[in-house]
Amino acid sequence: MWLYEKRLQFPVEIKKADPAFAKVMITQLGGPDGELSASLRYMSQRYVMPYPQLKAMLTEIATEELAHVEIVSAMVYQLTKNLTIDEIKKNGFDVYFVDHTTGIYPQAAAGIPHRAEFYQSKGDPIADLCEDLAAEQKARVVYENLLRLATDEEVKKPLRFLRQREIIHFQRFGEALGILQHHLNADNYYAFNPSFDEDERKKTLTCFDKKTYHKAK
Amino acid sequence: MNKEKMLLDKIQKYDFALQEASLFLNSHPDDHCAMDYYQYFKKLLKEAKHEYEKDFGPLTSRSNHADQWKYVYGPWPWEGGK
Repeated sequence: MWLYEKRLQFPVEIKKADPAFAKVMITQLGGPDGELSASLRYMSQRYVMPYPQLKAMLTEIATEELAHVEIVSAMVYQLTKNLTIDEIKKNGFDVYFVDHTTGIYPQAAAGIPHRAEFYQSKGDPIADLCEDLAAEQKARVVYENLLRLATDEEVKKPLRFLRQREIIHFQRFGEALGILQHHLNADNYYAFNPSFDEDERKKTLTCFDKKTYHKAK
Repeated sequence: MNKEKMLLDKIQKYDFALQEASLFLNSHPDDHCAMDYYQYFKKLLKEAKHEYEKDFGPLTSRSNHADQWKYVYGPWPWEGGK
């Protein structure tokens, strides 16, 4: 279960509306490498993770991504506040405005609505964690591109924060993959899916329990 | 910086330290140094939240301690006031 905390993870205090930037910013809400994709990707994948550290990691990062969904939404909201019809027309925001007014709708910069095709849940932890590592790098690139396009310091501050989080998540997913490979390697054997091939998983779990699990608790 | 903003700033910083520590502890559950770090900021966060909620209302719908339902009061986080 989840409990909402009525505050942002990082402050967003944009005073200057910028509908042209809002149009590109929104891609980190609903785009392929956006925060909503990230959260739902990890949230869906966590169920087949074979070791407790991995279940914890995916749950925790999926939850933090929801806080980032809120930061990005707050940015788009403030970037489109109190617009006049002239500003909307002049900045090419009219194509968004016609369908959503200034409501917050999860879509990519080019207008493609958010879709589940942006991510996978493969039922195989090596495949899933490798996707997660790539996802964090791709999101970092998007934030760097947004930083190249941004001019307002109040916009850049949360962008820098969000970019840094991608790097930390990449680091932690790398450790998660390391933990997984370590256990699969314990019997010098990892050509199986520890989520699906139950007997093989038990073999690696026994080994895992004896050596490290009690210490970890 | 007014008192509300100052306390919220503290909450954001302490909680960020905890977020970092928890992610690290997920892959290093027996790291005592990280665990001490976690405990230190957990205490600071608890105090800062207590002080904030006493004066500026609940941060969650489960921590409305006043007789009055203050959870609904704005500004909401995305409105830039908080």
